[in-house]
Amino acid sequence: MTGWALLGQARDLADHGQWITGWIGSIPVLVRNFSGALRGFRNVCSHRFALMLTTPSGKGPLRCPYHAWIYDADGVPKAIPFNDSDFHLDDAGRRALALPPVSVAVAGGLVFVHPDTGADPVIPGIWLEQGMRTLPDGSVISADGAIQYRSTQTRGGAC
Amino acid sequence: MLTYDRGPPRRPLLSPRWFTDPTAHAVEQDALARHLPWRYAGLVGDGIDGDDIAACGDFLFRRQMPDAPSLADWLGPFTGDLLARSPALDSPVARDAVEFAANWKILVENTLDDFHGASVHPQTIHPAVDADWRQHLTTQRAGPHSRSSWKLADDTAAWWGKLLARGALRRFADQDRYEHVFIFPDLYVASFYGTMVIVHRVVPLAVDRSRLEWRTFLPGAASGDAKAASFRRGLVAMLSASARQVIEEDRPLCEQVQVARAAATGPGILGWREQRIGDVHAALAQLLETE
Repeated sequence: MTGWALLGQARDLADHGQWITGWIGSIPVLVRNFSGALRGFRNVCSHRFALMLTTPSGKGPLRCPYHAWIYDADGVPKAIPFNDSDFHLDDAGRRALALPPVSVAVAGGLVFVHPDTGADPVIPGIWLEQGMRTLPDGSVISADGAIQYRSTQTRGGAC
Repeated sequence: MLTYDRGPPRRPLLSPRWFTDPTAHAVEQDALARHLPWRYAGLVGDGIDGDDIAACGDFLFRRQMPDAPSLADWLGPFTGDLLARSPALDSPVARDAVEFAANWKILVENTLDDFHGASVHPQTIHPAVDADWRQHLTTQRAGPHSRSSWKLADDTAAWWGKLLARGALRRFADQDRYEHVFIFPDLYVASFYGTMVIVHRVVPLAVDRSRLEWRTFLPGAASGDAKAASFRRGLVAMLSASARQVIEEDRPLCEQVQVARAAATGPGILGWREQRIGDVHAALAQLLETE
């Protein structure tokens, strides 16, 4: 799977700090509301590669549970415990460790993600306008927009 | 040497395929069997023998290469650590194991990380060691092997002092420290207050599955004191539960690294208190170079 994939409901991202997670194939991804802006990233800490957000949805900082690194809206680690002693990362060093972004699109109250940052965000909307119930990523939605099945809920094979 | 007043060296880490690809795992295990001079085999009393077995105290190692250096040369400065702890190994009190859905190297990375106590072990390891790690954590590294030594918190040291008296415990060293000796690639020995010793072994089961086995030793004085012996039995139950809790705190994090590591695109970074991990990656990279 390499195209747009259904990740969840936009209503689960209504407030600042809310997030949803899933998998594009074998790539863990997250989308979080950062002060009203939805941003998507690979859900992998840049430090030692832990999966950061481990439940399908929630609310709180984008924080890795392993060593408590916290990332901002640009995916840059803004809080690194013990940075002054252990890492000595300046702004440029932190930016070099920014999380790889993924594309995010919202259509019909649904949130879609794409692993490529240059993906065309109008495509999911076109699917919905065409009345698709089974989407190209394999997800299934009902006429009222409820998610019957989403391909991103579990880890898939090699992507 | 931990030098906190400047940035740590950037250490290259093995690529994700060594953590996720079954073929790479087979290549790696073959390299560890053919190109590593010595490998931990077990303890005296395990029924291990043969011309290829040599002992460092009660720790047994198998020679894997005919032109291997002497075992003492291979273990370097940590020969003395194993010798020092060997007298404690006459007092086995518990053994346990936990399976992880993670590559064995992720378990090794986790145990060599003197850094995750606050976030992963906030109620167990973290409060047990002195909060002033700049002063009281020291690390010695030699090739792929290493030792961390961390002064116990005053309360913890006092607690161990009382246990020592009530349980008539014996010490292999007069030290108020938690020490962690790692012998590449799969042996690590933790010790507390110079008395309790826990010998761990990381066993690869598949590229994405491992078992951590550990054996606990709590040496008591041969006093025949029934009260002290009874106290020790209760203490063993409590310490065994505590050891397992720490491992169970680590397990989900290791498994979260396993599922995410293949999707990482960056190089990662090791802080000063993670440099022992870089040593293991460097040793493995060298070992795998010819594969």
